[in-house]
Amino acid sequence: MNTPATDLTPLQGFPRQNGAPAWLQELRNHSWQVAQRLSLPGPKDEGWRRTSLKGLDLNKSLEGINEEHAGLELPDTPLPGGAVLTDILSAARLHADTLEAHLRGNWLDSDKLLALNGALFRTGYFLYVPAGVKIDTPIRVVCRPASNASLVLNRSVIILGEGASVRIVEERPSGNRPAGNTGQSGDGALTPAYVEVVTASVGKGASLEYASIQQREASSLSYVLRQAKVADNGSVRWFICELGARLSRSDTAALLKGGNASSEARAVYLTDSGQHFDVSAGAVHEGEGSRSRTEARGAVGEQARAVYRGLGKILRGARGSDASQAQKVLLLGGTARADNNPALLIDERDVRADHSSASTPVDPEEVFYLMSRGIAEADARSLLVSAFIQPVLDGALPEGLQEGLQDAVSRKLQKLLKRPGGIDEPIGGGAE
Amino acid sequence: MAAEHISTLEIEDLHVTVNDRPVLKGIDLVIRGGEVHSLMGPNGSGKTTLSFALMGHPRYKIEKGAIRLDGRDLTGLPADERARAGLFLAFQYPLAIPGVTVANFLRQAVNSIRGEKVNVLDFHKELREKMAFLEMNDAFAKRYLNDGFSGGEKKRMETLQMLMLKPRFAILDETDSGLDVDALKVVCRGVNAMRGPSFGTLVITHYNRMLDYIEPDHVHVIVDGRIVRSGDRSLAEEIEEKGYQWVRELVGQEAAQGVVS
Repeated sequence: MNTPATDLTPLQGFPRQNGAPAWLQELRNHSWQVAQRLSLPGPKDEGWRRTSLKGLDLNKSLEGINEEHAGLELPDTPLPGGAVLTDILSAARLHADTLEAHLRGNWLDSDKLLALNGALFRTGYFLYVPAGVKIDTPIRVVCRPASNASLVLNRSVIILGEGASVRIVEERPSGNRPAGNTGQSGDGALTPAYVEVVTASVGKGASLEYASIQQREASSLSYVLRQAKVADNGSVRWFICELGARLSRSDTAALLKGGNASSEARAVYLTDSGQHFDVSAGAVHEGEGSRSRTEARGAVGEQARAVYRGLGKILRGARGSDASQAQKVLLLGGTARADNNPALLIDERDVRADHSSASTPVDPEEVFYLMSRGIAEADARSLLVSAFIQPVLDGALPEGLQEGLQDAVSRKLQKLLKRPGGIDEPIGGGAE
Repeated sequence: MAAEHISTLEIEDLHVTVNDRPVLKGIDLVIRGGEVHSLMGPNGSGKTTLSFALMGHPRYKIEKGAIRLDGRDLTGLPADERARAGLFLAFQYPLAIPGVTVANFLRQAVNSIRGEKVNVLDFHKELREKMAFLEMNDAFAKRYLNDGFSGGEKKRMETLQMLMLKPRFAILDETDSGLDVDALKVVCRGVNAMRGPSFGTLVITHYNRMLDYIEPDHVHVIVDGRIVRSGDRSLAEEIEEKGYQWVRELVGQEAAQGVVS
C-alpha cells in the first residue's frame, strides 16, 4: 500500500516551457501527476530495501533546479551520414516525431524521482544514427551541471537505425563549485541530487557501445537509470564505472527483444568510507537465442557499503537464450560491507543461465607471493586490488580516454587503501 | 684484488608450528655460497613448511631458533625484507594474479630488490634475454602473471623471476613436480646458470629427478620435522633404491638404541 505523498509539497504552478511542443507538455503533465502521487522509494519497495534516500530534501533541491542547456558538453564536429547529436530540448522541436515516438515508448515514471525527471528534465542529449550509418569516431559527452544547481535532471535518448553503430562515452564529473564550496555539507544532506535517465533503441543488427564514468561530488546523490531495447541481431555493450557521490544508485538494463539480440555489461564500483553504492546490471530476455553477459567487480573500503543487484530474466518464448552473470567484490577492511544479490528468473525451458558471486578480502597467500619478491605489503595489496579491477577495465574506453579512466580508478583505489595520491579529479581534464 | 665474498645462510635449531601444531622440531643447516643442498623427504615431513618458514610466511610461526644470512638475523622480518636481503623461494604452487602483467610485476619486484628504479629499456632487454635463455616466448611478458599458465610454464616463470632478482640464496620447493623432462631441463639450466660463489641453493624434492640435472654437494633427509641423515650424492641414490621406509626404519632403530641423530 502506498503511503500518502508527504515528501513533495506540490509546487505552485507546474512550469510550462516556452516553445515546448504540446505532446511533450502532455507527457510532462502526466509525470508530474505521478510524481505528486508517489512517495520516495523506501525500504518497503523491492529494489530499494538496502538503500535509503534519507538525507534527500526534494523540496529544497527543487529550489535550485539546473538551467536549460547548462553543463552539457557535446562535440562540435558534425556527424557523418545524417546522424544527429543535439540537446534534448532542441530535439523536441527539430526532431519531434522521432523523439516523441521514442519517449512515449520509453517513458519511465516507476518511482517518484524518475517521474520528477520526466516532468522537469532540462538537459540531456539526443543521438540519432540512421540505418546503415556507422560512426567510427567515439563520441564524448560531458554531463557537467551548472554551479550551485541543487537538482540536475538529465534525460538522454539514443536511437540507432538498422545496422547502425556508434560508441559513446558519458562523463559525469562533479559540478563547477564556486571556490570554497567543495560540495561537502556537514549536515548529511544529499546535495546536489542528480537524477538521470538514458534510454536507447537499438535497431536490427545495430551496435551500441556505451560507457559512463561517474565522479560526482562527495555530498551528492547520483541516480542514473539506463535502459536499452535491442532488436533482432542487435547488440549493446555497457561499461559502467562508479567512483563518486555519497549515494550512487546505478541501474543498467538491456531488454533483448529481438532474436539473437545480445548484451554485455561490465561494471566497476569503488566504494570508499562514507559512500553507499547500489548498482544493478543485467538483461531481460524476450527474443529467441538472445545472449547476455554481465561482469561486475567492486572494491569496498572501511565504513562503506555496496549493494549489487544482478538482473537475469528469461521470459517465456526466449528459447535458446543464454544469461550469464559474474560478480566479485573485494572487502578492504573489517567495516566494509557488501550485499550481493544475483538474480536469475527463468520462465522458459531450453535456456542456459549461470551466475557466480563472491565477496572476499585480499587473499593473504597472494600478498605473501608478491612480498616474497621484495614488494612491501602495502604495495602488494595495492597491486592486487588494481589487478582485481583491471580485467574489467581493459579496453573499456576508446584510446585517448582509457588512460584517464585508469588514472581516475587508480587514484580512487589509493584513497580506498588510504595511500598518498588518492584525490578526486575528473578523467577528462580539470573542472575549470 | 679482494676475494669474492662468500655468503652464508644459517638455519639454527628451527622450531616451527602451523596452527599451533609443531611441524619442524629443530632444523640445523648451513648453506654457503656456491653450494647446492638437496633436501629430500616423504610427504608431510616438513619440506614445504621449512621453505615457507624461511621466506617468512605469517602462518608458519617460528617458535624457537634462528635464520641468519651473513650473520643478520632474518627471523622476525617480513617476507619482503627477507627477499631484499637476498632470499628467494620458488613456489611449489605459484599463484596466478590476473590483472598484473609479467613485465609490470617483475619490474616492480626488480625495483624493490635493487632499491632503485631500473632503466625501462635496460630492464626489457634483460627480460628478453632471460626469457630466451629459458625458451619462453616474448609474448609471456605481456600476459597476466601465471594466469592460464600450464604447470611447466609456471615453473619457468618462477625460474625467470629468480634469474631477474638474482638472489644470494634460493629455495626451490619441489620445482620438479609436475614437469615434463624438457621443462625440467630448462628449469635446471636456469639454476645452473646461477651457480657460483655468490649463490647457494636448497633444492627441495620428493624424487631424485631434479638431481640428474643439478649436481648436489650435500643431501639431507627430513623425516617428521627433523633432518635425520646428511650425506653426499650417494645418499640420494640410496633413498631412491631403498625408499623412505628404509630411512624411517633406520631412525626408529636408532631411537630405540638411544642414538642421537
